[in-house]
Amino acid sequence: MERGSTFGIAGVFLSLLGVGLILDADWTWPGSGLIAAGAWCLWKAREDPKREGKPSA
Amino acid sequence: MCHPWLAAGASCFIVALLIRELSPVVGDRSSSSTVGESGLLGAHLRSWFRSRISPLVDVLVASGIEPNRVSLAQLPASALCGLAYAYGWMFTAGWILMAAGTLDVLDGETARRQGRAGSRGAFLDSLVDRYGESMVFGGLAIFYRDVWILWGVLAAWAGAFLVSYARARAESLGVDCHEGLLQRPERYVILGGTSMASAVAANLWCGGSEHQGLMATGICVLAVLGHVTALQRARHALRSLG
Repeated sequence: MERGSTFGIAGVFLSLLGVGLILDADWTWPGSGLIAAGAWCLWKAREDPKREGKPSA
Repeated sequence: MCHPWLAAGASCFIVALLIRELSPVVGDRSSSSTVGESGLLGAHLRSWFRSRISPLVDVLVASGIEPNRVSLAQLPASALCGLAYAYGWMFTAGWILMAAGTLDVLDGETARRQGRAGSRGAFLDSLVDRYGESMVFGGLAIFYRDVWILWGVLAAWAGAFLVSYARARAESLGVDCHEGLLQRPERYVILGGTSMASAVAANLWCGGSEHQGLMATGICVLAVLGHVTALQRARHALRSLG
């Protein structure tokens, strides 16, 4: 089974936390910052060399 | 304030992510996995999740962090989750619950990789889990204190404890008891998923925080399946004890 990448995990968690802060608390700027950081992490995850060819744990 | 566009974008992102990640796993699962020891999620989904978070285990192992500290980190996470539920921050609470659930898996994986897995850690893990669940259900009980859903929350809370108690009591009598539909990962997924979905639905239709029908459904499912699981374990233990 394919391994995840640290950036991928961070990207999903950060972007969802950002969405939560905006939806629940109207914290638009901190939430938007987290969504942007999450999107950057997801972008980095696409080129993460650690993900290539490793077997599952 | 209502955020329908963000809610729509978030739901598209989550659905796309789930389809991308889970479609191969679900295909495999239908051919080989059974509901039983591995609960509703099945062995394939569990091993998929473990493989996805394995880089985090690598980081924890490399940094030499004690697995018990990872277990204990669930306490502040669960306290935050309970607070978020008490304030009605459903999406954030669901997110924190998922993060706490990830910590719950990480501690065991880290302990095994570091060769530190033992009964002391298992005991601490179980204790922390029960405290964590109490904080989460306590927060939900505060939020729903004036509506009928409170009874569902209390029933789900009791069910969660009975599931764990049935296993602990059976194992103290020498019966291996891992059976059941609703184990801890299933609880995290159902409660976390319905929390996030209910917040998205409330924002999509601008229904305000009162619109929590999905959340109520999730809590009722948790309550029913929790007690079904406790009874499944009781039946298994009684049969094994003759």
